[in-house]
Amino acid sequence: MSAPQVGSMPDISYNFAYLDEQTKRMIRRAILKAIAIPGYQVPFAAREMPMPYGWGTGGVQVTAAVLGPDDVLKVIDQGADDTTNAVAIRGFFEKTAKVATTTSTTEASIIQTRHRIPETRLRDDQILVYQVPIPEPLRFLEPRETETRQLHALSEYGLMHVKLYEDIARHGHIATTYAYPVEVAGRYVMDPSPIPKFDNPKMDDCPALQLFGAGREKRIYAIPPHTTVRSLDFEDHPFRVQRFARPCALCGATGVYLDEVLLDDRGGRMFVCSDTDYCTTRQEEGHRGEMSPPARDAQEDAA
Amino acid sequence: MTSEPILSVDGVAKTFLLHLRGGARLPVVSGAAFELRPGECVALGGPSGAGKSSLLKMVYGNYRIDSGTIRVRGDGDFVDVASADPRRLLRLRASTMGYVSQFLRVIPRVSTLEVVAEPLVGDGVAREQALERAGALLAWLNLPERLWPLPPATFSGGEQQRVNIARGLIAHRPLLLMDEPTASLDAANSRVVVELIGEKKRAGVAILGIFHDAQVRETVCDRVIDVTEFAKAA
Amino acid sequence: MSARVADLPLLVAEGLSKDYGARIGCRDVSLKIFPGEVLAVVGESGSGKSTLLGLLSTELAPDAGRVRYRLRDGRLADLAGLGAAEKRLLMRTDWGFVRQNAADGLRMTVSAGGNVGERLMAVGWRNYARIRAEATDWLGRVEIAADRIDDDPRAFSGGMRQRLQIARNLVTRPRLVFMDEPTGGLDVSVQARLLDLIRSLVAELGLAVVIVTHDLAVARLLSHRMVVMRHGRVIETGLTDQVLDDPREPYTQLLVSSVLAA
Repeated sequence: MSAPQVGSMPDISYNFAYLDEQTKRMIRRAILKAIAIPGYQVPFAAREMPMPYGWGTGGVQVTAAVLGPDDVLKVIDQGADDTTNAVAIRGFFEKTAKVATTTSTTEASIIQTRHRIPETRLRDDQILVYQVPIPEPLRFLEPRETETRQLHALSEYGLMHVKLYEDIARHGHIATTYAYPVEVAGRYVMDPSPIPKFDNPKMDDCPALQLFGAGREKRIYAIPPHTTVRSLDFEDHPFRVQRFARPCALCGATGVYLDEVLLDDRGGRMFVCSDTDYCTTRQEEGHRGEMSPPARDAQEDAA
Repeated sequence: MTSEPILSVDGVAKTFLLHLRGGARLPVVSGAAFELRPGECVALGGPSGAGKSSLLKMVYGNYRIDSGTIRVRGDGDFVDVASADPRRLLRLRASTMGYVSQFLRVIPRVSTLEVVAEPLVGDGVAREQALERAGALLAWLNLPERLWPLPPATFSGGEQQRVNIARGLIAHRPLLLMDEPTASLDAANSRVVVELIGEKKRAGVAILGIFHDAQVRETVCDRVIDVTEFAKAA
Repeated sequence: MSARVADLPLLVAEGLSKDYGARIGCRDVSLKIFPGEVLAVVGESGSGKSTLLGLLSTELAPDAGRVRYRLRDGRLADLAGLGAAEKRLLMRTDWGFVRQNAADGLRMTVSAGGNVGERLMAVGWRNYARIRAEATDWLGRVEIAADRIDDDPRAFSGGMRQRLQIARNLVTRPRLVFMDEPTGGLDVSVQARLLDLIRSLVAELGLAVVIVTHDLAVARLLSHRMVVMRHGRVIETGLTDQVLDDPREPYTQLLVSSVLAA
């Protein structure tokens, strides 16, 4: 065994966006079916990808299938463009599809996401691709796939409410805060992937096409633009999103999802936008939070 | 009394076929025939083993018969116990035929008071009222009140029999079948049973029974049917 | 209930047969079940009684024969002709199924309240407080203390699990309940309590019940009518006390004579 010599690696050329055309066509067919039956989990022949399961193999395959040379791709993980997972996937498509990438929500035509929906309202010329670990919302209570398929087929969703009932019984309120189940277009109940329930309302009547890919579980599902998406709840325990006591410490935004950032080991902490692009854009627009750097910088920039 | 019979037994034959004893045949009765009219108390007579209890059970539909008819007037028309379908027979028992067996079949965990009141509740009497009447009847039968809340499983033979009699007599049934109702009772309690039977007769109830105690039999019974005749034929 | 309605059978099975390869499951069984009636199916292991229960409840498909059921609108419908959705709705509202092994009839990781409430939520109940109140009421009726409502059945004794199964099944006021050896494997005292509970609920709610048991004492205590099975066939039927006190068939006589008297 000898170490490969630096600089003498063969020039590897990939098919556009890594997957071969047949595979992409197969995935597109699954996507079309998923769009035709909102919220329904369409099985597809997920391929092995050059990354481990849990790193977004499902989302990457969906993105690869819908990506064109003129697209501008944004990838976020927990709302941030600069985490390892986001950077790696962005790099993957830069290399295999040579498409333009961006961190700006408004500039992107395709956004692949793990765990968040951008704060900026999406447009009808955008596609949001979710990475999904476990697509089956009924799995928590019903381990048999044959049975969950029956339950979906017959719209037997009492079990979903059993899950919520258990939450209230044990915690006094619906304690499910992410992957909160939704009913799509009045028919299928769907797992929205592990986004915070804060983001659930953004799925409703969203102008952008929303696609969900689960690589390990080999399922694709979709929410077509402007589809009704309703979070399940009880009459006396209605669905509510998380509220934050204070605005973003950096941009002063309210009504957005905040991350807690520890500042030291003495309990110092701050709450900042989880959507880094949103936060940066607001700061560039001159918005300030309680822990923003002094406004001098901005004045200098403006000068 | 010249009223129509409430019970009409005709040509009844029964043989037990004991498969476990190599198909041994054990004839019980043959050609049994008699009638019973409202308000009449009739004893089945004959030595033990003559088939008195068996005949009583046939009338109740507990034992099936090989031939003949057992017609009981219930709900306005005659029902042949021998050929009625099970559900018709259950209805007949519920409306018309009461059975006081020798032994109480205990229902686990159910209190004595509830056991006795049950037939009344089944007739649609309000539970409170049924329990009250059950208590009155048990008091008459000298069953100590402290026993009422207990299931009768652990009671003595005499106590169980009184529970059984109370249960059998509490509701109105135009035809009563009684298998040795005083067998385990002392003289005082036997007298209470005799009084109860007298009351039933005055209410027009027809009673067919096995009364081992000669004094009781002579007091309550209008006539005796000798089962030996039927047994001989069998 | 008027006599007329009670006179119409709730369930009619005709010529039910099912084999498992060369092994006979059930052969040419016909029976009717009427409203408010408890029918015991007795026989030894392998006699076909569980197969019969599976066929009646449509959990198994017959090789021959059919099962018809009187729907709430009075129609006697062939169950094989019902759509899957209609059949499942029937099973979770109008029917119940109490299984010998509680783990097969309960969700073991869901609280007692959730187990009882599931059927309510399945038929559209969406008010937490009402679901909980109804679950509490039913736990009380099956003698489970209200403060156990948030415990899951893994923390329950065998008898409690069976009682929870009963509450879970009866909460939608079914008309027909299938029971497969509901007292099997329980201590005698626990059995007695369960039998008493079943007996009173059956009478109170006017339930029709098909109960499979190998225990003749259970059949005697609970049932009005009885079906004796052997080698997949019904060999004797009648009123329960008739069959037990005056058994006709050699096998039934053997069965009855084999019971230990207490």
